[in-house]
Amino acid sequence: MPERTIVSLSVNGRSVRHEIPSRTLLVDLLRDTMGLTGTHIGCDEGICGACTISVDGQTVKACMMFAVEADGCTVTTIEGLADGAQLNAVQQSFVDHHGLQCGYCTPGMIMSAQDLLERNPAPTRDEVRCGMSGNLCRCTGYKAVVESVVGAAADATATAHDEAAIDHAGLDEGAWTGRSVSRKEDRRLVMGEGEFTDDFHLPNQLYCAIVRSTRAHAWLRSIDVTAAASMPGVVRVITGAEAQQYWSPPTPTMEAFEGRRTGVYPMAVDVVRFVGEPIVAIVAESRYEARDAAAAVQIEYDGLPTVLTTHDAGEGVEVPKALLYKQWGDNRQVDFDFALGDVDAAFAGAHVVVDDVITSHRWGPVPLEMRVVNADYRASDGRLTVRLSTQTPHQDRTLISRVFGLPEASVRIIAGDVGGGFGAKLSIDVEYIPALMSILTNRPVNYVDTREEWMTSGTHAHDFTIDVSAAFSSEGRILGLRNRIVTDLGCDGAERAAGMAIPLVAAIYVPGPYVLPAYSTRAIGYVTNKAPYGGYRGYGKDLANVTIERVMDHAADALGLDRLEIRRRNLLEEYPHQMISGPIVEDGSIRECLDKLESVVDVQAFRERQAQARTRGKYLGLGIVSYIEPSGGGGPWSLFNVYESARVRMTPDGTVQVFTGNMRCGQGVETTLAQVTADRLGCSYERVSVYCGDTDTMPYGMGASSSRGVVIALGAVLKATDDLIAKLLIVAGELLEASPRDLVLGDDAVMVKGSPDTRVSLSAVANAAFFDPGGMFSMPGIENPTLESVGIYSSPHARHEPDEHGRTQDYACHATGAQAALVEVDTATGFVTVEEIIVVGDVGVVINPAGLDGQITGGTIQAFAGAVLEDHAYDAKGNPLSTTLRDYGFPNILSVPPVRIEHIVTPGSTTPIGAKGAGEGGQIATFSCIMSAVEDALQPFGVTVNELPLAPWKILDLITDSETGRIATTREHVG
Amino acid sequence: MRTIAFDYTRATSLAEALEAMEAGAAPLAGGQWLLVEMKLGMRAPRQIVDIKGLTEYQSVEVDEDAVVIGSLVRHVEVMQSKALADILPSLVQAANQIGDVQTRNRGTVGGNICWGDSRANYGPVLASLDAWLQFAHSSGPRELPLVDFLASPGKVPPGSLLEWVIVPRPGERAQMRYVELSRQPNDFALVNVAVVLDPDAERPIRIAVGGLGGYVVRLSAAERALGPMFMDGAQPDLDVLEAQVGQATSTLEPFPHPNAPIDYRRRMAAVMVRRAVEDLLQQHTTSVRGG
Repeated sequence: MPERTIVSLSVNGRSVRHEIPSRTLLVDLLRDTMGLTGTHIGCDEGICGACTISVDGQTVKACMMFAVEADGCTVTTIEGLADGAQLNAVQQSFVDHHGLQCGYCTPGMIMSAQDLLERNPAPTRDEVRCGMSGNLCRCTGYKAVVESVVGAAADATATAHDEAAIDHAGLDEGAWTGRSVSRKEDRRLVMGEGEFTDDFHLPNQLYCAIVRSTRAHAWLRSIDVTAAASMPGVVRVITGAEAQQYWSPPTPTMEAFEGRRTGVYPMAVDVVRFVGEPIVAIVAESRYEARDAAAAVQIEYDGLPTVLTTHDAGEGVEVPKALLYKQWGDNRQVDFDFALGDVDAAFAGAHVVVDDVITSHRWGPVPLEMRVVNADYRASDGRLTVRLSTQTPHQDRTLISRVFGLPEASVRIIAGDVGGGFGAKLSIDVEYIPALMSILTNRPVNYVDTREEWMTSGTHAHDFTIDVSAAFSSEGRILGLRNRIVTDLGCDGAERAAGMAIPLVAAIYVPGPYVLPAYSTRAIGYVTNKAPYGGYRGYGKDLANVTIERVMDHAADALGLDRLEIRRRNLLEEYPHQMISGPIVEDGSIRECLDKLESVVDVQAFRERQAQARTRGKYLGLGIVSYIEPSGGGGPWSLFNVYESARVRMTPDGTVQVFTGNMRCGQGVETTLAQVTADRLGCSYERVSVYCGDTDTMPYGMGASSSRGVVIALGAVLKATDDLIAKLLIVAGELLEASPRDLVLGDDAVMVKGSPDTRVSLSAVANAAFFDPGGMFSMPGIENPTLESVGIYSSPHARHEPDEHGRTQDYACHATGAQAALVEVDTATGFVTVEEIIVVGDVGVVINPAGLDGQITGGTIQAFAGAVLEDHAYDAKGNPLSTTLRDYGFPNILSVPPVRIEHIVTPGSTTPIGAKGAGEGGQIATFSCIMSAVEDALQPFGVTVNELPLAPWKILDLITDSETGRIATTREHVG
Repeated sequence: MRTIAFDYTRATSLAEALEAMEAGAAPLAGGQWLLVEMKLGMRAPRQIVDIKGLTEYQSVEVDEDAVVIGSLVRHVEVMQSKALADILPSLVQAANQIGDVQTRNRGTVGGNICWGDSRANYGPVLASLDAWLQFAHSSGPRELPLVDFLASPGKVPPGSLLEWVIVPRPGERAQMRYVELSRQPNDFALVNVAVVLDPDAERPIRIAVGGLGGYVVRLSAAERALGPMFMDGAQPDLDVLEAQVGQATSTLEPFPHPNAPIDYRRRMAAVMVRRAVEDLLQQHTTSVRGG
């Protein structure tokens, strides 16, 4: 048989017949040929399960079958489950239990759940985990997934989210705010009708493949593209050197590090600086032909010395091994220092000084949907439309227009659903390449990362060493702290500056929830020949937390104090509290969170259980830490400013459209903004729709970063809504013959205060405003007389003008909390089992409890996995070793601990409705408390746990080494 | 990633399959590893022959002397087989821990064996059970011990197709256990072991280890040394067991892993064997008490 073949199969009850190349994967037949784009691709090795479908009644991964193997088979995909608009029981249960966030993995999850429930109609939670272990999720931490499946079982015992657990702090009885309403995002996502970037197929579309460096640091000696250029289907091949004439080096997203620009192009011109850097781009008529041609490109290199550690880069040595960017003279991209208070005196007068060196490996966001671009340039009008998976559509437009010298109005970014961001999609670099290829060919160009491309050139994070010394009094009060925070930023690539501020945020937030009287810090970020650093959930606040929390534990040990007690002696008590490093913690409940956590954990009972277990050779440990969660951060001279815009429109039939510059990426912004807007308008939640992601139709905004949705974006929506309300009341006043001052909104109507029967429906008001009589006739004297209003909100709390000590206030608010981890360490294997993680958080007013728990759980599990399983490992030559999700250690449903969450509500005083950011709290304290717990478990061995990852072989080494004597980590001052 | 182009044929008989393979075609059964290797560029066959339609190899047969497993029996079928659960429970334990539901729905016993990776789950189990493999070839069938095939796949001529896995029936009192240590469930094993305890056999303890070395190994010297300890009436000393296994694995070169050190994995082989034996002894005590 030739390389083409005919397949006949039944898909969702429809018989189809296609002639296709034999190598066509079943997933490509479904997605590209048949347009069934609910089946997704997240890896190349059959591990993620996003492409799970049913073939002849059994679940399979559609990327692990050739389409020809399905010849004669009956196939069901996610699109085959619902009956018209009626969701099936499993889909409905995922909606009811908030079993999804970004929704990228969800179709596969639902297909597996459907199969599981058909075989076992009443599974236990453990059976659900076993049945779902072939479906990876990056957002939810799997907790809500398990509840969704159990909830869909025939005799469902799971209850929807327990709202009684949250004190609503005086919110109205009938309010939408504070309720776990179903998310607006979910119906399309559970039906496989999400609009992810690769789901769009444009007529005449080409496919882009990129040839990337296989060397960490080298001159490009020669590039031979002749064979590739003549291969079937190939339309254009271009090298970085040739492309240079068509674009400029990208400008950085932040100007905070003046003079430290790399000046490199999106494709390497003469030098490559990391394995995975783009060198050649190819477009062809099919995905397959583009890949074939990429494999035929021949590149020869002349090696340069590789810089793979901060030590190689210059830390602690006179001369760096090599310079990555000669014009800098060294390898430091970030160098920040700050000191305030008499640190020397603090140390001189200390009773105990604690020294710690805390290190972490490389790990990062790894969203399930990789980088995806559909670029469409039209020579007729010079317009470039770029669909991409991003957290920041407006900034991307600015960056792309600068790179190509196009007027910004000629560039349109459309971001549909985004399959997970976590900070990774705050920067673009490869995205410029398909845009260039579209400009050069005047045809639409599709680009999708392979999983290896993501793992080797997507953003990484962590990879740090923190050297810290802290001085304590005999009573356990912290007197002063010095630190040096060194991060390995990898190669900056094409100006991926979005991760650059991580060491700064770390340095600024080290004091955390404690009162620190004297502080000195230096934060240095080195560039090396590894993949670029990027933003990642937690964004340095986690580095700050581990610094202060490890120090607290070790000071307690040195002083013979209880680890909780030393925290109580140092917690900040009065709000607002200005940290010595500048930030002002405006309000919160740090002590109350810690107290509540202590009782939830039942520390006393744990200690008894721990003692018991030790007699049986089992080592249990408990770690408890406090944390603060700054959110809504940003600053001037950057593309992450601290403002947001919104437009709110009431249509003539009285429905409400909210357009925001914020961006969806799984966090539920369409839902939370609608809940609060509905309450403000006194209308039903269903009446309000939220839109984002299209730069032609949205007001200019800052997208999704730093947990800013309810902190900043919501403020803009409410300002616009309030403006709209003023107009509604004027129109209603005319209709009711009442003064607008005497009117109130509620029950989808406008009514007279104290006389609720005298009312007019919102739809009647809206109709009057537009047509009856309409415009200026309905709103005499009003400047903009239609029901369309714009609001711009800037945080009143942020302050970017430095004070006399050079300090700024870069975040809009601070949530507070405490977190505990309970672990068991197997001393024969070194394996750490996290039994449970417990979070007591105060994020102010809670808008959607189930959504909030999903955010906290997801962040917690990401940090757990980073600390225990994940690793962007490199070999000694700079070759990445974790090129697949499996090698990387991406966690599955069987390997994650349960997360229990309790809340305290202190309405925030610096945010629009008192709600604070909540997207990163889970990430900030998790590895601190796990490290503390592991150390507690191994207390009989006297080991110090300051190193990530908590890989079993490292733990076993610690135990073994402890037999040769404990390494001193404290020094006591005599006298 | 996508694969290179290839010719695809579907075999409807063994003869067709052998003919295609003689011409250089790679056999495709469940494809759960072949596709990964092709997509990642580790293998690039220009021809593929799909053998999953050869129904004669989709059954498990039990006779007095042996259990005969067709090479196209899928992992999910191993898990559901009552006969295998009764006679070869460690094989079922191993099947349960292969990949996930979707993988087990398609992957086959023959595919797992011919993958040849020393971490493959069935390797240690079948090695500990002294299994044989029967291959078809145009020049006639041939049989050889599984361990010989894994150590040297070249012992069967190119174009051979695995037909049957033949497992001699263990004794009535035999107990067996498969244990793997991996970073997380579903992951490849850092090290995996299978142990058979049978006081009636010439070797009262049989131990096979995967993940160390290029192929699965039987720890014959350790088995001989430890044998008396597992005879009727003897009292096993688990510290001695761990030390013996540790010694036997101390020179093996583990399969590459991004970051797990070699010494650690060698050491863990002994710990896993100890745990497998501990489990079996406990089971034995429980069943004696229960009976």
